[in-house]
Amino acid sequence: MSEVILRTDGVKMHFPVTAGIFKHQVGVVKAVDDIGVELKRNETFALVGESGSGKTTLAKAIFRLYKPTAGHIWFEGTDISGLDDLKLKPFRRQIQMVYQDPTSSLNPRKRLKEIIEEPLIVHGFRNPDQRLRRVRELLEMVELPPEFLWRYPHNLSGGQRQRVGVARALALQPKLLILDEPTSALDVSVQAKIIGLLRKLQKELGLTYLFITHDLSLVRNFADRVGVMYLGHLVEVAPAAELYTNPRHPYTRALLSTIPTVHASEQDMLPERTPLKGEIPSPAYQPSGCPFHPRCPLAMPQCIVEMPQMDAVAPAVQVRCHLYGDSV
Amino acid sequence: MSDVLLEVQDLNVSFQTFDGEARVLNGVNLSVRRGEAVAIVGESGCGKTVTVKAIMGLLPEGSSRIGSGRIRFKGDDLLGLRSSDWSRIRGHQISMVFQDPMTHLNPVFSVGDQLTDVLLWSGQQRVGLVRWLLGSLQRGKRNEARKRAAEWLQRVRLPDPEGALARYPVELSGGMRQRVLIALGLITEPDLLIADEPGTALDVSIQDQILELLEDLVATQGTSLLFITHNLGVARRISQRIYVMYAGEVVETGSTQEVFDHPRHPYTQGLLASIPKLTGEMGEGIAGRIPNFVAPPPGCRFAPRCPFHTDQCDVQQPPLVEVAPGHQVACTLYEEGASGQ
Repeated sequence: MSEVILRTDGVKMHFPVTAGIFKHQVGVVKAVDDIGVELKRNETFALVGESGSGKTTLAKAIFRLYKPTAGHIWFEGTDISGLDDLKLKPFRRQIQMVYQDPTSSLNPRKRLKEIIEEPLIVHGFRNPDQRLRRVRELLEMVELPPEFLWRYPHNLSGGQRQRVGVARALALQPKLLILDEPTSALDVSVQAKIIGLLRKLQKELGLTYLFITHDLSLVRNFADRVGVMYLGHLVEVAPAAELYTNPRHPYTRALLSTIPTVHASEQDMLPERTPLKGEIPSPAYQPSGCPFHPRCPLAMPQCIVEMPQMDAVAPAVQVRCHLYGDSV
Repeated sequence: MSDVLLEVQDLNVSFQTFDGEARVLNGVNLSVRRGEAVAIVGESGCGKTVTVKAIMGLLPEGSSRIGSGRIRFKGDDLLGLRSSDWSRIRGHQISMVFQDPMTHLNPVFSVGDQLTDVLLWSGQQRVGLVRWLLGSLQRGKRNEARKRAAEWLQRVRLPDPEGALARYPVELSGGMRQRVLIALGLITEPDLLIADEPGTALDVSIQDQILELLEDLVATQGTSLLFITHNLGVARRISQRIYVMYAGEVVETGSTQEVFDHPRHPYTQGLLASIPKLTGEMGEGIAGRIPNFVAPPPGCRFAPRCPFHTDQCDVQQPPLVEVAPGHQVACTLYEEGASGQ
């Protein structure tokens, strides 16, 4: 049992853009480009970025809903990036996903028992009594009363529905849970409850979380390490505490400086206000050199031509920016 | 600064549902002064959108009922207004910026058409052929309106404002559409702009740009702003005064600074604690869920979820009590004369 549970190396996810009746390729959308991350056992790794930055695409590639265009994904030492469906099946039990919208990700015509039990049936648990016992166990784990077994999703509040989503994901005892903005559809008072539950489950079951979000204040509270994505590239990876006290990449700094805060003590923690101008470009027309250079307040001539490398600038901190490269 | 532009007194709104009459707003009081930025905050289902829809006269007829209360705007009673009088006020003296820039622009008209429409429409519901022909002869008026539209697109910092007039909403990004919506709200230079969570559908960096733009325009135009949001951080940034709503009631109000620094109502305290902070602190959230509006709790509507719940809370809805200058709280913990915690 090594410490690293999942490692990706140069993962690319390119989607062809086609036109005409013969569907000839006219371009390519580089949704995820050359991503290398490492997830350690029992940690929470957060992926943050704006919409279009590729964080969900990367998660789906890791979950193997997509087959990556290039690169490798090692899960506990096995390369799962090229496996076919049959060979993937044992790994599907190990990696599970909790979706963003608890309303549309639960089948409205099924009772909670059927919803939570479905992954068990798919993976060959034949004994109905055993399955029912497991579903009861799961409901208890996510702190829902046992009588909810026979209810439909529409009888539940948003927070309760998301608990069902978590229970379903846990049914097969996965090791890695991908959380795709699990609380963005919920009110803050409910969000705090769900985050508390996820923390408790992580401790009890030894889970590893890949947490996708755009809420930077939440990341500070929930994640151990953070990866910041921009236009399909990872631009900074750092421990959460470090990222907030000493953000390095200009994009990270700009993102942090615009967080709306509720407490005076937080105000002092924000870097100097450097609001971002313009909008994130379309991944189909990536700028040359560093993808962030058109919006970067510190852009240099070099940034327009050359893509910076991911450099280790401090223990456990990597930044993709010419400001920190050796070449400067 | 002291003159009141909009005043809502003891507003009660109920909706007819399958289960019975849902009493959604229960005695809401609020006011907006000239040139002031006021925020209404609360979680989903607290009645903040219903409140502004009542102010704008946009509640669905038939299923909704305004039980009692008064809404006064510059001395006019808005609740007694006939629909022909509404056209004089709605869009001209009070306008609204909606939440979702994707659905609140008409996809089949160009941005320029939609902007000039607001300026040229003068309240006719039906236009005959002759009138339409006469209208289309007024080239001058139309050109002037187009010029004004382009000017406003410039003011909301849309790149290439002249070109944008001919574009359709699908050709614009989310942030640009939100800018068009703001221009649409401000082009008639209203006295009051109501903004219903603008920018929440957008990314943080774009949301930041939109907020900055609103702050700027409100300051330079002298327009009053009524800002509705569930994001307390945004409310703190944009408003001078704040109303915290829970289950159709205003539970706390005061200057934004005062309410954020010294929250008094248990709900406001719980809500503020639930928000993840950059300092790494985060509360446990509030147990339970919002009450059923058909049969709400008899006393304080927050009582079933309140950590300081006493028997007295179930007796009667607590009135708003002043705990500090301008800072009012509706909670039995702060009875008249008591100094509070």
